[in-house]
Amino acid sequence: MSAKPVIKTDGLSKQYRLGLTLKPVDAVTDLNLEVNEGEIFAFIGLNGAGKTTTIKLLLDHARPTKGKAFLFGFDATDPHARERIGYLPDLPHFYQFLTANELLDYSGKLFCLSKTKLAKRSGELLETVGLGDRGNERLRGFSRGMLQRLGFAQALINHPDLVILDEPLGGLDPIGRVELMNLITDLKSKNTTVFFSSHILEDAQKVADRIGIIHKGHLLACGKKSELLQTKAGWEAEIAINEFDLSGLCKKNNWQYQTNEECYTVTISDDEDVQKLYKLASEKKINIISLHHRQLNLEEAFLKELDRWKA
Amino acid sequence: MESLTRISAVAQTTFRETIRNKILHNMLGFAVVMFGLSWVISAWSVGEPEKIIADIGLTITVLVGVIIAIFAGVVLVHGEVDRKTILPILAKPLHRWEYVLGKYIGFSSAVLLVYIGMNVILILFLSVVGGGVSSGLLKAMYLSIWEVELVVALALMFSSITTPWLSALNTIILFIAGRFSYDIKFFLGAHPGNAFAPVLKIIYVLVPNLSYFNLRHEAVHAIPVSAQMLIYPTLYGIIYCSLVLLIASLAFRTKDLA
Amino acid sequence: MSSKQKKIISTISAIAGLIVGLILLVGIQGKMQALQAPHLNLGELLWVPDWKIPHVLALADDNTAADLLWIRSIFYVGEYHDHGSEHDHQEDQNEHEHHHMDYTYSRDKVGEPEHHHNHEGHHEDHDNHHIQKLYKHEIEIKETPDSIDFKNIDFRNLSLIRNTLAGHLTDNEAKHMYHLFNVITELDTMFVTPYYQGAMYLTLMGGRYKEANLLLDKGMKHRPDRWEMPFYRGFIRLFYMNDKNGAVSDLRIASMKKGAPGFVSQLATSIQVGMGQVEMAIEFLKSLYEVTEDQEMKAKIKKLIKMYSSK
Repeated sequence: MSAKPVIKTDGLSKQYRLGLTLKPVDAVTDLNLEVNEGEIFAFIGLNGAGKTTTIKLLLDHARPTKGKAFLFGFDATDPHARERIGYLPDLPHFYQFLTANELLDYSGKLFCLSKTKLAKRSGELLETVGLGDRGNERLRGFSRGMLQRLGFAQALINHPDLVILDEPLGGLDPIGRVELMNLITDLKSKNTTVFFSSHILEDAQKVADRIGIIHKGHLLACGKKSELLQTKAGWEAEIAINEFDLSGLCKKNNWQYQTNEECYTVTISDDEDVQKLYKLASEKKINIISLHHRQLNLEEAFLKELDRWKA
Repeated sequence: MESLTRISAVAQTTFRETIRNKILHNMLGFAVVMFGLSWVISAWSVGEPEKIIADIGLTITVLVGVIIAIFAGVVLVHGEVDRKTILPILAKPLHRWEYVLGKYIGFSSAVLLVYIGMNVILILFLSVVGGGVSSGLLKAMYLSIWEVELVVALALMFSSITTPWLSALNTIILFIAGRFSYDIKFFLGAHPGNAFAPVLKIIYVLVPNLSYFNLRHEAVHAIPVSAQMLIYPTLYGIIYCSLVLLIASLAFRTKDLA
Repeated sequence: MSSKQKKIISTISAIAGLIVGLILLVGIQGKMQALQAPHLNLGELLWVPDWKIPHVLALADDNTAADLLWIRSIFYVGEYHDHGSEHDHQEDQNEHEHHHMDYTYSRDKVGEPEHHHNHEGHHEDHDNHHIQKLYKHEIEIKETPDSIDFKNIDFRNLSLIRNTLAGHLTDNEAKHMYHLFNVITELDTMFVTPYYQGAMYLTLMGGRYKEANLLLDKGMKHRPDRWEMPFYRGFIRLFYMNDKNGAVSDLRIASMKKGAPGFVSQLATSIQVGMGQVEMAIEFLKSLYEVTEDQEMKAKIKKLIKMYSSK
């Protein structure tokens, strides 16, 4: 894949001046990021890490103090850069006085879509997000979940090649999340690039191709999900419970373990210890149900990167 | 051409926003009540009740127009930034100046519609209980449209720079100062050597010269009005509004949306 | 009792409570009013420093300011009709020299004092004193038969007319009233009613023909197109100043204005021809009755006409 980057930032920095004293606060520092065509990029970090600021800089909602951002090769400050973009803000605030149809109409007109195209497209989109029969209702009466879905619809009005979603999973119930995840993977199947920020790592892990980790404005790590998670993390063994007191053994060998009614889950970091466990198994008649390489989950990867950064 | 489509889209939505605003409906009701009240009041006057109805009616329409312009106008841009409804809009291929211009056109045309509506009610009212409608009255109504439009532009400008409260305060101050622009001029003429004269001169240039948009005295007393008295204020209004919008666009061009 | 009934009963009792409360409130208000009334000085309430204050308060909409002040002064007159008889008419017994009042209100001379010959400080007292002396002087001249130039005017009749029409405006009240009319006609110089109606109130209610004349002169200056001002000036000249020639010339001026009623010129002619005094007085009173719109005043005039006609 030699795709050219859809999003590229070059030493992007943003400093806000807060309060009466105009105390400088670095929201984003020297961010170098590339997002390629057709991939789902998860931008993760804690609240206040700089995710939303980065998105603002990408969309020209704020101007960078230093550095530049490019979308499809256009400077982000050029409105042309936003022609092929769909954006869903973190909180779905839309005009309460408009109806769903009017909002989509407004959004479409800003892309200069023709009337007939627009009518067809908004009908389609409302169906897709499950608001097909509420098009003529004012948004005042919409629930947060409905607004979020409508927000998704307005973001897709122009058949965007890049969709930027700011915390799209924030206010959704479990069903809503699954639906949204499906929408995101749908987009990928149409070769749309998706850039989304999230602090819910579990969901990011499920759908993302590549992941960027941001903390206090610094990009800690960025790469393919498999690369980030596949770092060596030892072994995990499930052992059936019998008379033998496994906990003593674990403590002796300094193995971490968890237990439930049926089995122990033991985490082993050394290959030598695996041998030891096998030996013990044959001696003490321990029943090993499974033994497999342990994969880091995103949370752990995130914490590991955080530790490394602090060091 | 595409610019025009986008501006009109913003304008259309802003128009809807304003027309559906409760302030507007309340103020319209207030105006009608005040017309009625002016009729009651005029009955007490021993003479010239039609003059009193016309005076109060014209004053009320302008004031109501200005109140709508200020209180619905100062939240136009800042309110959108505050409520973050602006974010998805400016994430679209829209220039900031297109947004500001669209907002102005949408809002000012909504105010204009309401204003004309109020004046139509006043005209009907005057023809039923007052002294009828003269061409002078229509001329006064026409120029007061500009008075309101100037305030609309100012409210929008402040709204794209600062918070609603400050915007309202600034707009009200400029409106009042503008109402007394002729007094400032007069004072300068009478006291050219005054220590504050240079400052007052600057103020006189900067504030909207609303005194020249007031033909209400001429209207009720049937004093003839020359064409120039209509043309120059119109030109002044166009230029002043354009300048104010230019400042608004410049201020909003690189503003960070918090 | 069903919950519906309870609801109805609670609503009814709430409304009943509101009504009872309101009645009590109004009752107590009346009591307070009764206590307050003797102490209120309406004249003081009416004191408006000069035209600049209403000009500023009305945001330079001077016409409306004039209208509202005019209506306020009408209320003042109404209150006077109601309570006027309680007021004591105080006469200043001292009189020395004849002063000339100068009540020139000018917007053309910005920054210059309004009262040219009065100096700062004891403005009010000085003014009051001034006017009182002035009147003492004039009235005495009039009521000494020897000093009359126009022998065919029956002064017992005229003073009877004056006394019947006259209310008992105190000096302070008269001063405030005149001041108020002056402010009104300063704000809207074209507003005709305050000129002649104000002059009427001042002369008929307080015998203040001097101020009334100033007001009418001002009105004639600003509204040379109207007949009312010269008409009323003619009335004042005839009844209060014994200036028959002046009255005739004023009536002639009035009769030549557009819209002047026919009786104006007839009246001028009949005065000139030299009718009997009573007939002339009736004639004038009739025409006064025609143009008077204030109902109380009209009733008074009617009474007078009847009184004369029965002789």
